[in-house]
Parts: sequence; structure tokens; C-alpha cells
Amino acid sequence: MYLDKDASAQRVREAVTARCNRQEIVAALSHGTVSRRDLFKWGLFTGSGALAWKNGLNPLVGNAHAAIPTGAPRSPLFGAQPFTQPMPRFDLMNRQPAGYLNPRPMALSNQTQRPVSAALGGGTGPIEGRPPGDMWAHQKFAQFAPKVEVEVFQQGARICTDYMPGVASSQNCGINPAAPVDPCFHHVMPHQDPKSFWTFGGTVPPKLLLGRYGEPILFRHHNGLSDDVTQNNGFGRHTISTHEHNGHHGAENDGFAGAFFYPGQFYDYHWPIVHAGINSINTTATDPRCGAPDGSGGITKLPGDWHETMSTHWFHDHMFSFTSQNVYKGNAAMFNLYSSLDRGNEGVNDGVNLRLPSGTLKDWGNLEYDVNLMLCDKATGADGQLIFDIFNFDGFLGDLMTVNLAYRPYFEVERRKYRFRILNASVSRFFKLALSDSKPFAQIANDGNLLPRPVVLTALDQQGIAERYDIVIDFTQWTNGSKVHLVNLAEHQDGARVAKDLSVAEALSGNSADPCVGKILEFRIVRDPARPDLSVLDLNKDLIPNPDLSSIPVARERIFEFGKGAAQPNASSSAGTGPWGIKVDGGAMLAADYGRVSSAPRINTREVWTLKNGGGGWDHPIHIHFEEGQVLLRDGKASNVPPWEKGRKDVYRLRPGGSITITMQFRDWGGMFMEHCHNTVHEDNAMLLRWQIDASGNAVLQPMPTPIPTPQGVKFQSQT
Amino acid sequence: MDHNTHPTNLSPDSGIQPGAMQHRADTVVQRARLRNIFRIVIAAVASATAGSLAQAVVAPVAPGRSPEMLPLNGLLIPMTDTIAAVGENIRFAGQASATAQLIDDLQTRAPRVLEIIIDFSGVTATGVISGKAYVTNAQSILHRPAKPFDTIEVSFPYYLSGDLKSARVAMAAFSVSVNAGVLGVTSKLWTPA
Repeated sequence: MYLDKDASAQRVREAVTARCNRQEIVAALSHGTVSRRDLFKWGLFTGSGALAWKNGLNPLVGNAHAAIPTGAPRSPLFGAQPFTQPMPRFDLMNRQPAGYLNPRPMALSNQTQRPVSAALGGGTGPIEGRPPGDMWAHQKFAQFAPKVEVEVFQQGARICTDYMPGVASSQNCGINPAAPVDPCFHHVMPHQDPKSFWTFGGTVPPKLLLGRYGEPILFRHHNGLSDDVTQNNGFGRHTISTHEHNGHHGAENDGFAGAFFYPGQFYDYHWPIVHAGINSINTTATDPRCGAPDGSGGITKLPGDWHETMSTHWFHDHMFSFTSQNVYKGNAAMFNLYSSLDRGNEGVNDGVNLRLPSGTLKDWGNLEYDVNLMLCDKATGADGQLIFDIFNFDGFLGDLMTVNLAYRPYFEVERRKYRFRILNASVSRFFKLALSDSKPFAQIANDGNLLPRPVVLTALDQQGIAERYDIVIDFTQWTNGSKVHLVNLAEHQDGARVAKDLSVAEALSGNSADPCVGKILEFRIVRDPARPDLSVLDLNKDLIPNPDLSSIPVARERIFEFGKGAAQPNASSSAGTGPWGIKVDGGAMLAADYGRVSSAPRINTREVWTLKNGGGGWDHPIHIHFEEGQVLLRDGKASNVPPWEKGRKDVYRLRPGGSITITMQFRDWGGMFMEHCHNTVHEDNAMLLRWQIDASGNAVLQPMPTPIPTPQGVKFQSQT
Repeated sequence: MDHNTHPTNLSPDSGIQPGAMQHRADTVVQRARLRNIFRIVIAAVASATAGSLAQAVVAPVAPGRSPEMLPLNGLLIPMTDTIAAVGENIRFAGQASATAQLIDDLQTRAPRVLEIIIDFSGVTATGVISGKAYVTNAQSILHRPAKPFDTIEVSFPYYLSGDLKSARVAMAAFSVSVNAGVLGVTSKLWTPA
């Protein structure tokens, strides 16, 4: 995707010109003055979704024999050198007690009217963007009344003056939390413009929310972006929908792609934070393994299945057709969930707590030795501002590798065990991570779910977009004063898939044309810990075994095939356009339409779904919302499932030309959910479908009306 | 149904011939696996850091039962070797297994990819002095551009049962050749610097 660093000046000029031409079209699309359908009609895209070979638009024209990667000029570094800045810990979100929010959250959407600006059509509209009426009321709101309230604004970049890392400065590379934090990827790089960079609170470092089971959260998300859709530096859409990935919540709180809200509005997301199976398993809450830290060293027992305990989530935008751009602009944060099993206190030895690396200062949620890492690749123009390019439907790759939104930083560690919760928050890039000296570590969780057993590795498997891998590194393997690097081995040539898994030696050789290959984070082993490492990681001891589904009949099997060449039979406002699509049970390959119900499993059933990759030229990390699944087969065989996929998951990497068969349950909550590729360029270009839990008990599904948001209020349409 | 008895008829229809696939508007691209015309030759050459030992094995693997079921499982690669390690040398014995397939994209003509899965669980590791048995159950999944000749370095851990602190790393290099329907693999072992 990127020109070689030694590309000629002429070549760079051509690429800059072509990119500028493309950016005009990207901007028009983001402003809503043209649609994707228009671009196809105008012949700017080929039938397969590739950018047409037009001179002055496609950077490859005139360079047809150029080496790959090619096309885009490299992002300027402004003199920034790798590993010259510390990696900041995440910035903790404020947790407020119940009663904090005003106006008070309600089960029904708050339809109190407010004036709407002329830029949004004038008149009046509701203060809350959640669709009105009983169907979008919070399910079981009284039963799971919020105990924690969080209020956050999505807004343009600004300097952070209230950084809360949650640990002492000595555990955060000496960063002074009282010092302002500039909105940039390196201190020598320009500040990101408020129109370029839209984050939670408008600040960096990225945000982290801490929650615990049995403690329902009301997450009030204000849309603080400009009313003027053109105030986006050419990409991103100012309407948003927030998906708590992969919360086991009612659909009204899922961040449905069609339930977006406008600037000036808020959306109250109610996250009950319950174990799946709450209505059918351990309903009298007698098992301490299904529990939460009580704040004083004990356990609050909770109903549900302890095997469904989750640990590492994230939340991000899910705006229909604009998810890739909005997430890339900064709409991504992480969410650590704590439980009696995984309480974030390695010192509590109660026979239930797994005592994973964390710390001991607080009853739960200690972060001293439990570190969130958000990996994403970015790209900037000559002015250092973020840029985005939609003109390759295979995917978008950046050339600036960031960890926690810092360009190739370093992180100081003590000689003891650490847990790292690694999130791939890229648009299209896969990672494959190892340490620069190939020393071993243990993977303990996949997609936020603790594995049945730790898996010792010297390199992780490829990590697709949205996948989370939790690992434990024991830094006693190194001496004080030494350094070791986290290395990316996955070389891309385009956004379609990994072109080559490199060895560590190859990745460190400097020969890869992919700018994001090689060292991405430097660990500096700086001292022995002041207190003993109390954390436990017995490789022979269970973490969380899978739920036993053997007595639950399979109600139905379905086959979903993900491929290219999709048709869009509808022209409704809920219909998307793009080359990617999904076949269901051998039907037509259809482009996304969130008004169409593609599957409707019945509530309180279990199904088996096979996800097939329709092609060998690309990979798809498929995300299924709502409840974790178990991988049964890969390419048709149970023996093909690797050890790190034997727990629960919510993102299923198909591999090129491959297939994966999973089983899921549908229980506790109802409504409309989604399934899509989490290469968000694929998702935005129509590789998404809506499914719905059928709780009616009727012989025929009654589809829920589809919300069509406007600033003046949400309208509804029937199923398309 | 449990995962042990799940029918395999849900697997990809990878046996469809390329010519026919191109006529399918809805599924133009499919995985093309190495066909059963391939003979798979496994040759392992082990070179030890402490004393040299060479071994060669040629073992044709039976083809799959049908074009739809052509997993090239069962490539067994001898891993007999002794490597230097901190504390004591480690003697490896047994066989790594490899599953390999070639992936084509008939629509975009993307470069052909070799997917190779190497499983070290059939390899044993023993401390030469202590006689302690180490666990070697790692698996590595790699995607590489299919080239006539490629050298793939794979690291894998070995450790005392239950003990992450005892984990060490060994390196294995596989020389893979894919041409004229033959996938050949040679390997050697060493300890990284």
C-alpha cells in the first residue's frame, strides 16, 4: 500500500496527487453529498469493488508494474524515532454512583424535545437518540438497576488535563499524570485537529472502563461532534452508535448499526453485566465461582453460569457504513470486567480467585501488573493529520504503528509476571506477535475469555481485527537493564489478508516493505519488584473450562458464507452498498441491509453455525454479537482447532478459504443483533447482516420494526 | 450433537474444479488444496549443536479419500537432535507433524499462499543430565507465499510440566519445497542466541 521509502520524487508526487483526488471523493461520501451507490454508478469502482483504473485517481495507473506495496505516500515522522517516548497506560473513565446523571436514566428512551440546529434540519428532536417505545426500552431495567453511572462525550481532539492512569507514576514509565497530555502520536508530531481525531472525551491516552459482575452500568454517551457533517477533515460521520463488544446485554444496548444518534443527543446504554445463563443456571446464586469482588476481600455470589465469565472487552463505534472511519478516528476504548475468578487482585487466596498478575492495593481491579495494549496502525498526510482512504475495498492499512495511540513507544517493567490484554483495534491489519528473542510466554485468554488452560507459546497466532489476546510474560527471564521488544511478524501487502508470516529474524531484518512489521513496543526491564510477585500461573490448572453443552440439543444449523459479488435488492435507507456480502444457507450473496432479518434463532435454544470464507485471497475476522460461542470445527474437523481457540470466542477468523463451525446459545435477552466482518472496510462495504432472537413463541417470526434515526426523532420501517 | 460427532459435510466444497468455479457468479473463489496427485516426501536432516547427527527419512503420505477431503495431515518430520540450553543440554526425539495446503484465489489472482501447521506435540524433550521430561506441545500456524523453495524458521517452547518459569525456546528451521506436486520438508534444530 505504501511507497517504498526510497521511492522517487516523481513517484511520490503522482501518489500524492492521486490521493488528493481520492480524498475529495472520500470527503463527499462522508458529507453525504454522494453515496456509495453513486460511486458505483459513475464507474469509479469496478464490479469487484476495486478502484477503477483512472489516471489521476488510482495511484497504480502508470505504475502498473510497480512493486507491491505501492500506492500511497508514507506518513511523515517529523523526526520521531522509535522507542523514544513512554507508552501511557489507558486513561480511566470516571465511575459515578447511581443518582449522578441528570436527567435520570429511564427504561424508555427520553424523548424530551430540544431545538435542532439548522445544520441538522431545524425544528426539534429528542434529547436521547435511542429509539422510542417499548421495543427499545431497557430490558429488565428495574431488576438490574444501574449501580455505576458513566458519562462521556464523543468529541474532537483536545489536550487532556485530567489523566487518570490508575497506577502510580513509577508503574507508568514515570509519566506525571498531572501534566497535560497532547493529542498526538509522538511529542514531535503535530497535534491532531479536532476535526481529524474523535475520541472518548476528545483526549488521549485511550479510555479504560473498569466494571465488575453484578454491578450494572449506565453508560451515557453524548455525541459532542459538530452538527455540521462536513467538519470532519474529509472522513468520518458525525452520527455514532456504541457497541460494547461483546456484551451480553439486551439489543437496545448493543450499538446496533442502525440505532445511531446525532450530535447534541445522548444515548443511554444499560449494561447489566451478568453471567450468561442468569435465568436458567445457578439461579439461586450459590456458587462462589459465579460472583464478583464485594469490595472487602469477599465474594458477592451471583446467578448464572460461571463458565461464561468474561474479562477483556472493548467498545467502539458501529455506525452503519462508517464504522471503519469512526473507529479509526478514535472511537475505541477498552473495558475490563472483574469477577470472583478474575478479580484483579493477585493476593486474595480464597480458593476461587485465579490470582492472575494484577496487584494487591485495591480489593479488585488492580492495574499495576495488568496492562491494556491497544494496537492500531494509522496514516497521516504531509501535515501530520490523520487520513483515510476508502478506495481499496480489500481494506485500509496505516504505516504508523501505535500502541495505546503512541508511535512505537517503550514501557518499563519490573522483573516479575505481567498480564497484557492485547486488543487489535486496527481497521484491516492483522498482527502476529512474538518477543524479539523468541522467549516463551503464556496465552491465558482469547477474546476476553479465559482459556480452559494456559497455552505456552513463543509467538501468538495471527490476531484479527477486534480479537483480544491476553498473555502473561514473566520478566524474570531478563536481567535488570535489558530490553526486549514486542515484534509484529504479520506482513501485509494489502488489506485483504496477511501476505506472509515472518520469522522473528525476518521481521527484525528490516527487509520488509510493510512499515508496521518489526519492533512495535520496547519493554525495558528496569528493576526488581518492591513486593513479592503473588500472582499464580499454574500451567496444569484450569482457568475457565467451557460450558458443558452436551445436554442442550441443537435446534438448528445454519451456514453463512462470506464473499464478494454481493447484490443489493433493496433501495431503502437501511440498505448498504458494496462488493462484500453474505450468503445464508446457500441463498444469494446479499449486501448488508439492517432492515432485513437474515436469521432468527428462537430464544433459549442452541444452534450450530458454520462460517465459510468464500475466497482464498482474503481473510475475514467474523464477529457475532451477543453471546460467546465455542469453536467446534475448523475446516470440518475438531482436530484442526488450535489450543488457543478451545475456549469461548466472539470473533472467528476464517483464514483464507477456510471455514469454522461454532455453537452458540440465545438466551436471557432479546432483540436485533448483528454478524459481520470486523475488517471494518469489509463491514462498511456491506459484509454485515442482522439477525434477531425470536422470543415471540409464534410459528412465524415477527420482525421488529427497523429504526431509521433522524435528528428530529427515530422513524420506523417494516422489514425490507 | 457434540463436536466429536458433528458431520463434516459442512466443510468447504474445496473439491470443485477451478474451471467450474469460475462460472459460479456467487462463489468465484475457493480454496484449492494440493491434489491427491501429489506425493509428499518428508526428509528430515537433523544437525546437533553438540555432536552432529544426520538422519533422513522419506515417507510418502497416503492421499486423501476424496477431492473434498484432502487434508495433507500426517507429514511427520523427524526431530531427533540435542541442543545446548541453560543448565543442561536438551535431547529432542520424535516427530513433528505438519499439515499443509495451497490456497488459490481464482478471482483476484492473489499470490498463492501456503498454509502450514506444524505441531510439536509428538516431540519429546529430555534433560541430558537430569533426565527431566519437558512438555513440547506447541503448535504454529503460518501463511507464506508459495514459492518453489522456502526456509521457515519456527520457534517453539519446552517447559517442565505446569511451570511457566522453566519455559525455554528451541528453534526449528524447515526447508520447504513446493514444485511439481511435491512438498518436501527438511528441518534442523538449535537454540536461539
